[in-house]
Amino acid sequence: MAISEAEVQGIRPEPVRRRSAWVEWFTTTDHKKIGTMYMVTAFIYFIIGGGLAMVVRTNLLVPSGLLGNYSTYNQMFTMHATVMIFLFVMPMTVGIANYVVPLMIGAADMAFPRVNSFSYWLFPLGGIMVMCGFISPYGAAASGWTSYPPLSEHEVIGSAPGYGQDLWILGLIVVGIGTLLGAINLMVTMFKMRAPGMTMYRMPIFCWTTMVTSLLLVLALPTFTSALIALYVDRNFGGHFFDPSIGGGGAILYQNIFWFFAHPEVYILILPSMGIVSEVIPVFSRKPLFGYRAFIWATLAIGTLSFGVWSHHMFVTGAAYSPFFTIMTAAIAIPTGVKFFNWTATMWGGRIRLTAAMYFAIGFLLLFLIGGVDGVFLGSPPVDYQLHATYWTVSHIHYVLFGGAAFGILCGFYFWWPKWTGRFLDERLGKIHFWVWFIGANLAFMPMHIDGLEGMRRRIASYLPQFQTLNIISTVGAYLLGIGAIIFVVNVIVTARKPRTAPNDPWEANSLEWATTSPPPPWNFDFLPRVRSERPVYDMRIAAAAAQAADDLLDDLPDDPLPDDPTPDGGPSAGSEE
Amino acid sequence: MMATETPERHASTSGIDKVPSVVLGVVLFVCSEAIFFSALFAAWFTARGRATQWPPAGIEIHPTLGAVASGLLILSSVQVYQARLMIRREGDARGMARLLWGGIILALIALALQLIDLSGVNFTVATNGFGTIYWTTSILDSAHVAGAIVFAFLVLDRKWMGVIRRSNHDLMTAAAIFWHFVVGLSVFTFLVLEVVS
Repeated sequence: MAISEAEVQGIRPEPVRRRSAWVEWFTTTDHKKIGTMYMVTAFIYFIIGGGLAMVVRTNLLVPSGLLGNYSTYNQMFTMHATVMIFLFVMPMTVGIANYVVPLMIGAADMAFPRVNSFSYWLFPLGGIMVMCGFISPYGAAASGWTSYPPLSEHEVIGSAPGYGQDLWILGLIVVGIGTLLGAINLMVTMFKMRAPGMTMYRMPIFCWTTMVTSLLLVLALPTFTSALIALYVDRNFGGHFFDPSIGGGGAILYQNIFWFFAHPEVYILILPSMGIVSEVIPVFSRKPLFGYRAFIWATLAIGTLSFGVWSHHMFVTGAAYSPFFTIMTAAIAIPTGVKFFNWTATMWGGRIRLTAAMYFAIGFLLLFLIGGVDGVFLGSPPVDYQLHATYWTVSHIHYVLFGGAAFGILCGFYFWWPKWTGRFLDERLGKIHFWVWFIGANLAFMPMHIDGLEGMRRRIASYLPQFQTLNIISTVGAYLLGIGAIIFVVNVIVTARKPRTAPNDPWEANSLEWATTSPPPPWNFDFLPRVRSERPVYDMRIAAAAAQAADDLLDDLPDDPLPDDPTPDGGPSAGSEE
Repeated sequence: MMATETPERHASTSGIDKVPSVVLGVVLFVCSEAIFFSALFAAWFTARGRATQWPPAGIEIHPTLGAVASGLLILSSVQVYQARLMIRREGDARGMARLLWGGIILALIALALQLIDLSGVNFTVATNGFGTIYWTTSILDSAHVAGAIVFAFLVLDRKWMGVIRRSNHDLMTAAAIFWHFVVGLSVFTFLVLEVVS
């Protein structure tokens, strides 16, 4: 039995106090545990948001609406969008970034671990505040996720918005503060904590998209916080921020402030998924990402241009200078097109391995393409005047946020799951999950294009009978999405019982997180490979393979490799310096 | 080929890598705060642009107390600037704390004057758009002054723990950056809300 130095000197060693698992998880500052908590919490909200979507779609099975209460319907679609945007996609991508970014750059943890923990705990707290609207008098917020005044400003007795709207405002302020601190933390981590040799141009693409996302959050999110505070003051202290009749700024002011945040928000939601897909496609195409630097510049261009397009959401108000915002909206398609070129060129000629992660990556490309293209229509004012308040817009946002962001997130789940847990998700169930979601998404959202073109208005609990068939198809699609989510949960539960068989680098991937164990130790790395390109683990594999080949060659050589005269014609012998 | 560098050693080649983490974090936070207030000022200027008379009829503004408060805040900023120089150049933590206390006391007086000024106005949040934006912006501005004071106390706490030294004064630098931002914001708020009005 080993004796410690303290015992030799007669000092009784301090007993190691082990904390319970609950205390450990509640008080942890480990970025991996915090990332896991982000993802689990966000997934719970995803289930809640999905449930609300099912209620919305079920209501729309018949033209008159099954709920029979328009206020309830308004609460359902408002909370569905709020939960999916602020409590699922945003924190889920923050959670993934929390877990993998420090590993990808070779850091031991985030720059500010305690701030990281604080940021996380604000997220469930704010989320609970938002959800408490359902148990408040008059129900939850019901004025849409945009909460435009005057709709969101004044209490309507017997209907929403009541206290639920206030809880919505306060909850989102709390969530926003946590998200902002998380974004700053991620940026500082990437600027300051990179491993030796990890220059900015060697950072993995997911880190770059997280960096730009974080920058967008720092520069855009505070305006939303301002708008929320102003809304709260108007609602609770008799303020007139958005009441022009008595010297305020007017409802259009709110829309300007809101969309100055909310259009970059779309990129905040989609850029991390773009980054995830950009990690997955090269690995399963057995090629480096085509145009690594072009991709980075395209990401930066999207981030920059995203601040110049907000008013295209306001064409129908007549208060937007249409030519400028039309041009800017069209311009943002260019860097997005560059990215599509990067992804397709990466796959072109590659040895593609169709894993579940790759399925979701390809699904992302196809669905996000549809969402991108039908969005360009809305950037044209004459078309937008016709389609803005119709189901066309609902289809567009769902192709972008479900087909884009959610498919990207699931792509990341199937890709990094072995790293996070040491276990593989079942590939067969994963592919079934993909197909159910892919078919479900198209069934749910494609008919909405036709609904919109035919003039079916969005955010309405009832509709004209001629739209029923298409609405039934959409509802069936939505149910399929629910079934797909259940398949994923079953996959997680089933594989959680299996042994940890995942090696360090099960996919033969490129970035540093694959150089450590699966799952990683609390300190992340026992050793770091030398970083000499944007694919350090690939370099490590090649170097190891070359060393192995050299060893094999030496083993194959005869015992006396240098005969007296190896060149019969009297030329220079091996090893000569000529 | 595998290297054996530990995670604690990080690449420090470009300019931003030389900025301490806490300073970089506070600079980013200050950027977000500037954006936060810019939305409030946008509301102010929008309301003003719509108005035929500014300030609206019946509104009385007396900028004297606000001017004194702004002057005191500028003086406090000088104190905090010198406090940072004291630790950075002289390595004198006690001198730094003394100067920081001076800044805190000046800021506390300024904060009290701001609140007295606010309580004496003849309009409320509910009076009109002017009152709403004036009160909201002023209170948030004062809250930031209070936040800067709390940050300064955090620095003093670390000084008492013996953590702040010449070789380790990043927290003081970060606090100073936030302090200067808050003072600039407060003076700008005073100029926009009371002088230009």
